[in-house]
Amino acid sequence: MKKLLAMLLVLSLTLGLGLGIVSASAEDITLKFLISAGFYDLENDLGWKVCQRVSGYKIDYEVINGTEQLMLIITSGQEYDYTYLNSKNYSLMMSEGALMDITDLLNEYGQDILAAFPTTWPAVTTDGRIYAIPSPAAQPDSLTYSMIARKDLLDKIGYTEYPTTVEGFVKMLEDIKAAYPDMVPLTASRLDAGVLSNVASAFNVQGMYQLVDGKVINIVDNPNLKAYVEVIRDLYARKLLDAEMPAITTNDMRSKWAASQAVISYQSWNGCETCIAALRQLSPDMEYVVLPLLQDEGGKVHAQVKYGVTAYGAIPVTSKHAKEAIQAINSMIQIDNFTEIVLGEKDVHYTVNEDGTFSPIQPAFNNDKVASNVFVSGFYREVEYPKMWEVRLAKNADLQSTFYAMRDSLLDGGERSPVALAPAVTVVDNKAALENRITDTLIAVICGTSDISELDTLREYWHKNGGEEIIKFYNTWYAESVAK
Amino acid sequence: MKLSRGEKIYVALLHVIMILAGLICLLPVLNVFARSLSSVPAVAGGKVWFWPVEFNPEGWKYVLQRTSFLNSMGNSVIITLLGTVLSVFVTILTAYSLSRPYLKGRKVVIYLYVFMMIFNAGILPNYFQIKGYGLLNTRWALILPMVVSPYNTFVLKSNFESVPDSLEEAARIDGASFTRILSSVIIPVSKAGIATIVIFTAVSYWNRYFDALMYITKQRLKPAALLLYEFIKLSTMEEGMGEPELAALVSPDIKNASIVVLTVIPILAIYPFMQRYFVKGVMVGSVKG
Repeated sequence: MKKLLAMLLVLSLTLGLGLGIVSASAEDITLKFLISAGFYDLENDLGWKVCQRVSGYKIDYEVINGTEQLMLIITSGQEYDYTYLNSKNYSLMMSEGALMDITDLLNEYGQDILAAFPTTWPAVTTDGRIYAIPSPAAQPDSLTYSMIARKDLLDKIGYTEYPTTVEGFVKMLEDIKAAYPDMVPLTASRLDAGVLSNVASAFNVQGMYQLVDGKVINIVDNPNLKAYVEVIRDLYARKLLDAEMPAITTNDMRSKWAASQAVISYQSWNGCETCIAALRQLSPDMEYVVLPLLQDEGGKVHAQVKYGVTAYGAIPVTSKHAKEAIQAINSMIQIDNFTEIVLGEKDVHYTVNEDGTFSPIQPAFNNDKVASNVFVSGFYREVEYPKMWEVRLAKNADLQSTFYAMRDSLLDGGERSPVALAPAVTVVDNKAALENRITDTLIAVICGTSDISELDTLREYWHKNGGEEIIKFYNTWYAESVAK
Repeated sequence: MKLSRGEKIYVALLHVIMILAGLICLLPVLNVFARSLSSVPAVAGGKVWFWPVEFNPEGWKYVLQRTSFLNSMGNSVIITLLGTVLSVFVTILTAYSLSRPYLKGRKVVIYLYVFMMIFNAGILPNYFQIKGYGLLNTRWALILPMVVSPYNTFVLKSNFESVPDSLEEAARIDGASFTRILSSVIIPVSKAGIATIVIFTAVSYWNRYFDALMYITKQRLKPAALLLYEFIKLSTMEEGMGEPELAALVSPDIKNASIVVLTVIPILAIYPFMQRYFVKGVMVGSVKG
């Protein structure tokens, strides 16, 4: 009897184990990935099928609609195996302790993932442990905002070369105002941190955080801030800078320029193609030019370039298949698979040029590859993805030329933000509020609704209310990780 | 009946005010419609007012062909139809019961309904409840929470209360059951009220995006209102780079206007069908003697 029982026990154990192994095989596990996709029909995208094939797993791609939904998903303990996060959501999830420490999983199953990011790992490392995959900006070391001017109109008033000093620039705006009294000389939408990069360049004011004498400082502590703000304030008071700047949206500002109501517009290359096309239909003779960044007394330009981690791929602590998720991503990120997901099939959707860049084959590329990059959102390969991304750029000549012109205008003055790779700030919880206050105050001073002395009040307020901790956090991190 | 001079002026003034109020509501809609079908330079140049300038259907084409709009539209239709039928059915039954003064415990139920109108449990408890029922990522999550609407119930209840008791008494004397009284007496004379509820319910099912924003993560299950929300949100984001080769034909402005118009058209289309009930629903000659 005992024998029989023992045999039964062994049998059931073996069966159970066997079943266990069967149920854990790749075919039976469905991984649940959360991505940010907007409005494309994902299931009809070629990328969906490619991902299922190359990863070896069935992956259900679902879409996060916003931070609130993400928080609900996390607090209610739903079992997602991967989530794409923007910077804001990454900070939030980190402070909630909702992200899994994936250091060991990466070492064991994610060698290709580790190799795909030569420089950006520090951004996701806290106390030596890794909590996400660091997906870098697709346009590293480029300039995002600059001035696009009407070359045809500037030609007519004798400007064939463009000023590189503050005095020369102000003089040019005055001349524009005199020659085209019905047009706004320079239009811009609400300036982030009050920075108009072409002018700020001459004062070495770069953005919210920058490096001065080897130390990370906030813009409120920039020794040249006051001199810079005075120039912009003066432009605004004399209506050389658009009076609607504080309130106007980017789209409306672009419309204004496209309707030939402004000579120069301060905007991003991203999306400039629409207003250029509109303006060209309105006045077919129009030409445009990207204006240079103004130089300091030593003839040098200063501007912060796009760099760092803009998205994060993470595994929530509630995931039941973290290992499989890492394995799946590791397969998808291998260069051949990654290329196929993002660009499609070689010689069907794209070709490789002699210089190693890619060109799309239309209409196949657009028909099949509209949203494919969303399937790898959160783990764009650091070195290769920017080149693949340029395929999208190549689709429009205006867009492409503006992007390159802005990047070239950096000369050798482009600087990366010292905190671009810093981990999320966890020492205070009001960092975003403080930064909003800085932008609000700078805009108010520029518009003349606040006195220039308000800058001193702002500096004091910032230091007292958490700024001190933030800057200490950044400097400690900088000294430990980058300066070394 | 002849109107005096003063009355005529008064009526004329009323008409002018009504027309103005109507225009205030109508013109922005016309403007969005016109923008959705105009050329990029015309829109960017601010030349479009209430009629398309340089007709250009590319915005509509973009929304219909390049996004999951049609799929979302299908979802919205299913949710709205099913939701409206269920909700109106439940509302009629509840409103009828609550409108009868002889219903025992009526006051308590009415107080509970009033309480529900004023207080709401909030997002988290609702979310956990939906999750608990296993309704996350199903269309039912967007239908069931709205089936019982205290506000609509009260509107219909007052409507039913205005039906003269004598009608119901007459039916009872003839031996009609409650169901019979409701279906053959009360509902036929309350068509206007019910039509109002149908429109309220259908429009709110159609327009709601917040439930979907919380409960839906599958792209295929998104209703049109949520797609519209995301479309407009993404079009203002730097990362959401569109398709630059379309730049000369479609701008973000035109895309947004197109999806707004396409989302609104189906729900606008139900108004004409409901219109006749507003006129015919009155109780002419239902009680004699």
